[in-house]
Amino acid sequence: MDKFNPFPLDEVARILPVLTLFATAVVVLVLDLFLRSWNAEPAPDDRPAPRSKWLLPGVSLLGTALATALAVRELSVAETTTIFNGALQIDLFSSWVTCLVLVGTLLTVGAAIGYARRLDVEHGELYALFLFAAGSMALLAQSNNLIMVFVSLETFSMAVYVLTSYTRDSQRSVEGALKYFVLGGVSSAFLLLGLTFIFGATGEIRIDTMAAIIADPAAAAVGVDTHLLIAGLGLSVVALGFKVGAFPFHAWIPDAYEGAPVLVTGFMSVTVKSAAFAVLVRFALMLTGDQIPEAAEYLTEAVWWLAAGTMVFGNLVALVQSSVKRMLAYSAISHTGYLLIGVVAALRSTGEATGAPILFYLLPYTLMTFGAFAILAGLGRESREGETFESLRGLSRRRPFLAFAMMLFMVSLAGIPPTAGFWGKFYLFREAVAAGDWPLALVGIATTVMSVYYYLRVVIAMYMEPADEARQPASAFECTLGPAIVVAIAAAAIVAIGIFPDELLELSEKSIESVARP
Amino acid sequence: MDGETALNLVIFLPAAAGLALLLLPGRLHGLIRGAALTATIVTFALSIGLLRNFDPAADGPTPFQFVTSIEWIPSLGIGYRVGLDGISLFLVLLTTLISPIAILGSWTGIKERVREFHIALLFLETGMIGVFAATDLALFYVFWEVMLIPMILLIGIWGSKDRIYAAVKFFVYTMVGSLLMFLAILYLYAHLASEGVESFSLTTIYAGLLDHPLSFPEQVTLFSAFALSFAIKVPLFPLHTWLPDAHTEAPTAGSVVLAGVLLKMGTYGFIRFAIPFFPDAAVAAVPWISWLAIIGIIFGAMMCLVQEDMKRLIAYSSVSHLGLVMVGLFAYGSSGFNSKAVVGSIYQMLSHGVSTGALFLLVGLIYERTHSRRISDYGGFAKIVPRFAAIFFVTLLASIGLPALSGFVGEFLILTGTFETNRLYAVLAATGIVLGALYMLNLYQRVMLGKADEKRPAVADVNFREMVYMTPLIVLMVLMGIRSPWFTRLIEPSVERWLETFRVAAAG
Repeated sequence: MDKFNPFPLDEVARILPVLTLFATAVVVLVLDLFLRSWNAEPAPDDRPAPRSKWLLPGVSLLGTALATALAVRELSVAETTTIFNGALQIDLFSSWVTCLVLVGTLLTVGAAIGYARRLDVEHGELYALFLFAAGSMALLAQSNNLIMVFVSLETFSMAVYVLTSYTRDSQRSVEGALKYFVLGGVSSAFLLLGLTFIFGATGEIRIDTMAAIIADPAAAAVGVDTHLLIAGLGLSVVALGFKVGAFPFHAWIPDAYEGAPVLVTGFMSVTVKSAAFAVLVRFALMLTGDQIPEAAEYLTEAVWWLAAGTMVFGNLVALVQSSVKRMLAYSAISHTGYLLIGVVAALRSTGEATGAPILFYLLPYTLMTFGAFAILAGLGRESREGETFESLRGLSRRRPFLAFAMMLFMVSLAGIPPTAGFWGKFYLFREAVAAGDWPLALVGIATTVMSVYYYLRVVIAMYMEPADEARQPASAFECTLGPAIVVAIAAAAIVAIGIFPDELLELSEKSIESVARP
Repeated sequence: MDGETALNLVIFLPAAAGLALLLLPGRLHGLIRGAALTATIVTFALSIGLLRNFDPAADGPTPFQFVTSIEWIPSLGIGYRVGLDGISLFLVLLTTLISPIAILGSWTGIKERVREFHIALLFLETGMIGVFAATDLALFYVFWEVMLIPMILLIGIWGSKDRIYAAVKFFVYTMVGSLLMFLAILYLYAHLASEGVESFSLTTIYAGLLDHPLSFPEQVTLFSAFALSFAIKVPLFPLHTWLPDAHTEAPTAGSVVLAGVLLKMGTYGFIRFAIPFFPDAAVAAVPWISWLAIIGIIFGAMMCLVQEDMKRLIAYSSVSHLGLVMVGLFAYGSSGFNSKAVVGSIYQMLSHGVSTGALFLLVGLIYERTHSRRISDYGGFAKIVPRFAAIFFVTLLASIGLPALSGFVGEFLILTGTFETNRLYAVLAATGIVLGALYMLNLYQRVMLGKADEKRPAVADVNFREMVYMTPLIVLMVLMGIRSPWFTRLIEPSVERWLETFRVAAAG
């Protein structure tokens, strides 16, 4: 062990992105307090004075942008270091996931400009909760310690529970949040039990040390209780499957996604998934080794069925939705299935590091899914009636740019080139076929065919069906500024990655190598 | 300009023009049409340059000329590789010819969302040329799919009454085939990668498959996936049901592009990918595909006889004609694939593109005036619109395959070639031609001859703009009929070379 250092500055420097997020969150909370007292005197009607209009979103956006810049800088640091006595491990993998989470957060905060005011939820807490959640997700990606894993997972879950119920006046919002919270609590119990078992099996709490033991128990002179390990990993998979919305642990998703304000739905569907998949991949790659083949075998079997079930279920149910928001929720479930293909492929391959497709696909997934939600947010479709396919009719005439962007997102979600989503599917399916698992790829292909239909429905509604001018006043198509900018950026990125995916593919490959089995 | 640059320009100029159209204000319809037309004509001129520079005697390391090969996504083994041989050259030319004509043909027909219409058409052109020019399997797949979105938008936005149904049907059909092919492509890549050949380059795959052949069951499975995707596009009976809907509901430009170019992608896919990749499976599939094609020929022709809608009739005639192309492609005898029949198939693809494209244009032209596609609404039109009747007649005859017109050469080569390999197939396929003459002449008689309805308001004859775009097609029909060596001279060496790219395992 190193000499005890009460204030390890160089180690603190490594988690600057996370610190920036937390600091910004605190600043925003404090600012909000002052804003209220400033506003209380001149404007008794409780409306924010003009000077405060840009302050909260501006500060949050600046803080997130700074954190993102710091996180992106970390991507050029190739070495793996453990800090804080092994509590965190900073490697390319964790930096990549941090970037993914921060991209999602940046888009969310950007889209909140204007949106939050229209919904009348422009409080410091809204931004602070986004930032706290993002910070804990980054910590989760960096966790090298089972306790850290649990604590950071719980921290961001709490923030997201609150965010889900943020429009407290809405019954749907509260209902969704309650379902999420209750089921989330159960899943936390599973995770805790699972982590305890893993600890019991190896007698270690540090993940990297555990990985070394599992890779070669003889050399470590430690007996590994295989059954306990498998049970522990299985329970963790259940808990993480809940977080990523894998069938049959998806039950909370439709209600929570539909009930939450649409921006929160977007935030949840992208960042939570990135963070939870980070742990899943880390566990899958580091805690299964050639020396204990049973662990990988059982886990592969379990995740295989999760993946197949999620793809089939998500796509089947998405087919029959009448609400675009709910359709997108099920589409998010089905994409969990596609991402799980990557986990299966990673588990199947021996020796060589795989799982890179997951890391790659999460970026297009973040951009296209959030982009689609941001369009709904911009259009202000917050009622059951406003979220139907019919309500999108005439969008291509009134807002040709938004309609085009929406079409791009749908095309990308369906995995049609030249969009980023295509390369994500290409990479995932290629990996599965290369690992010899073409049946799972076939399930993926078959369900993709289904998905094409419901994504097409959005395009049909926007472009081909006649607009019902009487029922939809022109104002229904006005778009708020923040979401519009976010949509433009996401759409441009989708096309750019679709045409030049190579650098990101390489980066994701390098990132996964840093958590390769020893 | 060297050939490589010209080819890249031909591929991307339309898409670039499409992007440029975004900058023009949407209400300046004339300017937008003019810009799109100019872009497509320049593209056509460039592709004529390719034709002039093409050297049929070239004997390079690859069958392709004007080759560009740069790494695009090295981590996945995908390159931007394009090039042309004698087969794809003419298909590219067909595409670049049809595109300006399609724009001219919808000059007055499209009044809504003019800018978007032309953007979709231009992107579609890039996609189609890319499909024919790609010599990288993954790049091919990208272009193959890219084309889909503009196509369904063309059908779904500017089509007629049941356009959405037709668009969805077309899209779902195509996606089912494409995605299975996608999986097969990945499997093929995994197979070669496990042997150390990690590239999607076509020439590498051809060579790799010669050195590391797939087992027969693998070949059959993968061939089925590729063949399904291509057979849907062709379309081969019984996968043709999307075609009458799509062709009928699409706007004129859409029908012209669908019939003129898109259907050829299916047959081209068989030539370029399915047969050379999996030759043993292709040989095993010969009777299956031949019979389905023959059923398609006869069924399509029978359906033509009972159609009341002119567009639907022409659509079903495509099913029949493309069936003949498939019979020719799969003419396999004791000495292997019959090169004469294959050349005939390629010739027939080109001829069908020209003549059926022209037929759809003519129907679109008359529809603009009468707003009816029902055959029974017509009669005696030869007196009312004599120029139209003359053009219509020549086009019909070319489509039927009258000697000295384009259709004859292809049909003759296919039938003589097939006769050498399997007489029964040749005889059955020939019945399609007889039926073809029957339904086409019947169509002419009902529309053009007979007594004209006295109360019918006056119908204008073919105007100058319409003459401008019909003339090249008519000239081409005649040229292809009487000067076929001009074309076969370039096609034949490529077909010979094509036959060398794969070996069929010895029978027994």
